[in-house]
Amino acid sequence: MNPSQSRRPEPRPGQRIGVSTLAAIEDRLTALVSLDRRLGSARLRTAAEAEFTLITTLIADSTYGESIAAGLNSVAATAAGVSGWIAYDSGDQTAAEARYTAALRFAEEAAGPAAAELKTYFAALLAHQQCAVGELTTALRLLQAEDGTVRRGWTSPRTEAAFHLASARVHARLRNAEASSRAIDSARCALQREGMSHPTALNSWVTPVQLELEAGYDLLALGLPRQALPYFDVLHTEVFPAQQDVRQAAIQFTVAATAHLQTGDLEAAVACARHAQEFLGGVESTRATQRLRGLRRILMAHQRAPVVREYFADIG
Amino acid sequence: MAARREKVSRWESGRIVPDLTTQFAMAHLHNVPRNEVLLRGWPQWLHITIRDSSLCSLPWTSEGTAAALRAVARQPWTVPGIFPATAADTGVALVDDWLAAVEATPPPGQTSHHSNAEVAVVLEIRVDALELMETRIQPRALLPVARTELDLISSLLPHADNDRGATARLQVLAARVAYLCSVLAFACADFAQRESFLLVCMRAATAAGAPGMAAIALASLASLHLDIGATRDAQILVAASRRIAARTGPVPRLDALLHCRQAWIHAQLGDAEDSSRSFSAALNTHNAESTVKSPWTIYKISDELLQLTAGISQLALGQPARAMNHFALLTHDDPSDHYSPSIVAIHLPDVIDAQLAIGDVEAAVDTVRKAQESLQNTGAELPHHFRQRFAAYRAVPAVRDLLDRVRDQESRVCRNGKDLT
Repeated sequence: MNPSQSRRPEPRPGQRIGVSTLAAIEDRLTALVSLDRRLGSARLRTAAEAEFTLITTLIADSTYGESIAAGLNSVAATAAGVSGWIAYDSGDQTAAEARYTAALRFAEEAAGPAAAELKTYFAALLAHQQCAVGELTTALRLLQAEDGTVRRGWTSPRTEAAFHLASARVHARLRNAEASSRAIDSARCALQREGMSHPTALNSWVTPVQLELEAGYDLLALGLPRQALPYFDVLHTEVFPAQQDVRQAAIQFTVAATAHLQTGDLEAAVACARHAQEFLGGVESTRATQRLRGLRRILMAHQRAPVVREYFADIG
Repeated sequence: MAARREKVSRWESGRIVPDLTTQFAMAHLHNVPRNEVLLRGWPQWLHITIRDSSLCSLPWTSEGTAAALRAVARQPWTVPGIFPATAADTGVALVDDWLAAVEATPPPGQTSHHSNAEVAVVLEIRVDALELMETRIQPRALLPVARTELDLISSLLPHADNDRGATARLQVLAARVAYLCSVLAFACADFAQRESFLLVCMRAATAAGAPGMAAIALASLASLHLDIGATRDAQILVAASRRIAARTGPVPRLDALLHCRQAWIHAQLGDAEDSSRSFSAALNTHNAESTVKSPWTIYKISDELLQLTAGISQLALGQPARAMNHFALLTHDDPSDHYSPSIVAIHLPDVIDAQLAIGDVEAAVDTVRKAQESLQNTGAELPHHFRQRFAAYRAVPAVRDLLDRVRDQESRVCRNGKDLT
């Protein structure tokens, strides 16, 4: 559905949407994000799609005032974006791209600060997704389109940091170490400016710890595993909030294992692979599973090493 | 019996009732005892033959509950039927199995694995919000979301099986959502789904060690039978629900509901005095307990809802004018000020029945007009109900116009329904 068609010229009789309905929808979406971090995406795809369909139906078939219209477009953008994220985590790149694109369109219709916040945030996620499918130029173009919004300070510091992290990833994939490093520095600055403002359910994952792990991942993407390794040390400390997002923990340990593997430290690589396996036990995420499977394929080439043989014997 | 298709069509349309010899012959073919034919009358005894009672025969265990929930949450959208699975012997067996399950279910444990408990807390937020949305959003739009929620909660049950505390919390959530789904399905005039959702609500609540909740679902199941005039089956279900009510201690909604159902049963049996007494008892129970706050929709009942029950009973007693007094808020310009969209969709046909019984055809047409404005995109079956009710008044010009409009709306809603499913 095109959001430009969602504003009707005059109100029609029918159900009225008010603040309480909008708040209930927001509560359900916030809880959906929380469930995704605890359970992984596999069980939530239908729920996310149903939520998005309901909101678009309400936009098309209900009566509401101007502020509620903006709110409905805002929750439609959130629902589309969450649905895009869930599709991305489930490995369905086509659906992910379609839903992220819908999120950007609905965000444009949401008035006020929510519009800039949501559009920049989901542009960053779409850029990540485009990186994953190798469309680096498109990813760069998406971020350039949001650059003005970020420079004018129209987004929250965390969303700005998410934007810079996406930018760092694209530049790393384009083998531009300098631009990638600059983007990581900008993300650090944004987070330092955060002060007392609260994160939203969407961007709460953007923390100083997560930022350093992303920096390590970017260095690995630049082909610099030795420089990347220190960034993963935090995984073995109490600062790393593994239980809050076990899927992300599984992915981070897989990335760390890859870095160790590339520096020839098989023992550390296997230790990280075992941790990743443990965290994967409680979640269903195609993205996390595929990454671990990819790591195992590389480890297979080292089966002559006893530590690797033992690992494969243990996991059966 | 009926060698010609036209004769069968006349039976199906309800214009002609087959003679008793023909009914006995039909019953014999379907292994229905003669006394059921005599006790239930036409067409109620047909419900014994045409139904799917597979949901009733699943074991009353955690696994059986999870399987039933998954089956119902994922059941394909079908043409709504009007044959309850819980008629006659199946209803009796259901009640026996349920009472045995209530005895066997241990109270919910306190231990709960950290992560499972956290998931239950998050799902509670979603279910609270869903229940609020039911009071604001059209049932046709909300039902797919509620079904998906039920499917999601059901999918988590097997994973929490070794954790009694978390399992019980998830089962209570499943019962709440299943009950909500039953209301939405009722509002969409989907008889079969309404019954299925009530059956899994009973199972989930029983497995969770919350028999009071299960008894409320059973009382709602009784009203489903009363809707089609199966008074005897409703009596069996209300009696079973009453047994649990006596054991579980005061559950305000349950007590009030049971008195309401009893009032309706008396009304269908033509006993105006007992019906009035039961309704007064419902009011007293409700007024005495109105200070008890409950977080769940399933336990909530309002004066407005009690009035509707009184109206239905008066209608059954052949007192449409008195029924209209109780339906006053439904004929208000905007009934959504007082009732949720689901309740409006469920009870407007009762208002129309009362108005037509009084002979006020114009008022009935006006009620449909308001319903169309107030209930856009509501159940695909609603126009069909309206049309049936006005079939005898085709000669009235306003009715002819209405039926034309309803036909247009029906085809549009059917298309929307397909889009949504």
